[in-house]
Amino acid sequence: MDITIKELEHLYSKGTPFERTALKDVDLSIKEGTFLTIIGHTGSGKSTLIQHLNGLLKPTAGSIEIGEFHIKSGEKEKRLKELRKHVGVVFQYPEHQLFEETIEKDIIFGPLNFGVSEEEAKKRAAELIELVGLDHSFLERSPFDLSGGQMRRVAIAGVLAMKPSILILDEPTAGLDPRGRKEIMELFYRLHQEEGLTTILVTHSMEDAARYSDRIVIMEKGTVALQGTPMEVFSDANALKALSLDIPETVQFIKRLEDRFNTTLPHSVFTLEETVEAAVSLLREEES
Amino acid sequence: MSDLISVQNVSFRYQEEQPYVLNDVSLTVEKGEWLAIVGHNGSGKSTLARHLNGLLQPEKGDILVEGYNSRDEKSIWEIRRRVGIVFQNPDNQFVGTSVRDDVAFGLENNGVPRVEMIERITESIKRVKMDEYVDQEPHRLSGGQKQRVAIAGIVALRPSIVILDEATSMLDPAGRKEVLETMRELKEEEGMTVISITHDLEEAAKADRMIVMNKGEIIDEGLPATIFQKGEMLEEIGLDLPFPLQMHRALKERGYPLDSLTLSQEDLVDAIWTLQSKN
Repeated sequence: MDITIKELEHLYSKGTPFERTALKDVDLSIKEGTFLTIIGHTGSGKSTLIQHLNGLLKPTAGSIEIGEFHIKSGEKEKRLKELRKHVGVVFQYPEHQLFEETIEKDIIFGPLNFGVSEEEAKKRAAELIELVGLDHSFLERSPFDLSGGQMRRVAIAGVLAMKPSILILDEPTAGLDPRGRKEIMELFYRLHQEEGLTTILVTHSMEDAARYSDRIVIMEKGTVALQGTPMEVFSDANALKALSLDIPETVQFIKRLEDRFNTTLPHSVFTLEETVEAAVSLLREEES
Repeated sequence: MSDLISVQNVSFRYQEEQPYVLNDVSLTVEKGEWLAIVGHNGSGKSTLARHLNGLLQPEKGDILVEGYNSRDEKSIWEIRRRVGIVFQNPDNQFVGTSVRDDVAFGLENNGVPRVEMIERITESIKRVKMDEYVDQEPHRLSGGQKQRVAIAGIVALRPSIVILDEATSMLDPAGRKEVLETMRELKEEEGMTVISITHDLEEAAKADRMIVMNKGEIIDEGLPATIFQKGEMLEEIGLDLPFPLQMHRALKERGYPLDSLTLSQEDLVDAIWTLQSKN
């Protein structure tokens, strides 16, 4: 399902003295199968934006189309429940939303609510618990005896159990240690590719944005300040600086090498391996 | 420099018959230093932090803070006055309805006279550069601002040690910078001792000294520059090396060993330049 957002505006506490503009003039189109990353400072409107994509918030002006679903200010979309089947959201600190007695019950809660049979839901739980890096023995345990990182995996399994075609991730790795961060991001990326998902990631990590995204959107003061492919966005160093955002270290480093060696290197370099390759190419040149 | 804190052969577990979360841990903290304690989630570093101000009691061993033993009930308040902790979640440590009230809370609990209290509140809020926000409600602040108010609340009690227990891990990059800069100034200007518990090795690289924890034990201790020589050990226990060190290692593996260890991108580019000129 393609997503089209047109002139989206969201005012909090509209019509009261506390009225505050959270989003204005947001235009975005996201093609099915895209891995899109949204970056921006705290308060830039990222979280408000993604809450519109499964109908948790309604626009105060403008419209959102998700496949055949239309969300428009002033109009009621009656099929919100149907929409939420397709759009899975992993909120910040999803482990805070665990509540059931056993991990299995927690994972199947969503699917049962959406009319999936218990047998099918349990089958999904058994598959998913392994997919998120835990094993079967966990299913009968209480989610509250787990470590923070394990709890987060269970919560993620609960979202995946709904088999969403659009997956929204709101800072899914915040607070995890580096190994945990890498494992969770690799899991989402694998799912994105294998299941052909549309993935929308909200993050502060420029490295993750560079590594996984097809497109990057930068939000500032409630609107889209910059968007494009990682290469387009990260090559605009001045624009990023003006938004006081960091450039990924690999990109910074390539730039420094270019300056020092007075040469040009490929600009689509975002992983460590590729950066090493670029540095080696400089060293090798001299040898030959 | 003299020992402010001395941890002597401390072992601890949350429940009997469960594995030890801290296993025979000994260390000292010197006055005026910035000590980074690194390790992955579950390595025991936060449990250790909670021992340093008497929130937890060791099962075996002793903890002395300026001579006060945390096992001695009468010492607990002396210890808590000396050791303040900034916790991970900025939303879980606010008690007041305004920045001013929040900073006042700890002072009231410690029975500081009103006139002195007002003075200390003003001074400590200024210290963390939150004076424009004294009457603000906490929920209107950013994460970094909340953590700075938490620091002000601690500073107002005039402690000798501030522990940052992953205090920046839930913040965005700007908030992280704010908090670390505030602490660095406090250390430089007031001689505060800082213990930073973190899994961010880039943050640890700027410390005076580093302790590496894994599975409840201290596995290494020393200057950051020395410990970073052992990149593989750090990666094995699940930590991410800073980018220049990762590059350094990868280049060595490809047959391009650089002379010295480089902690900054500038140094790394220089080292590559030097290597190329030699060829």
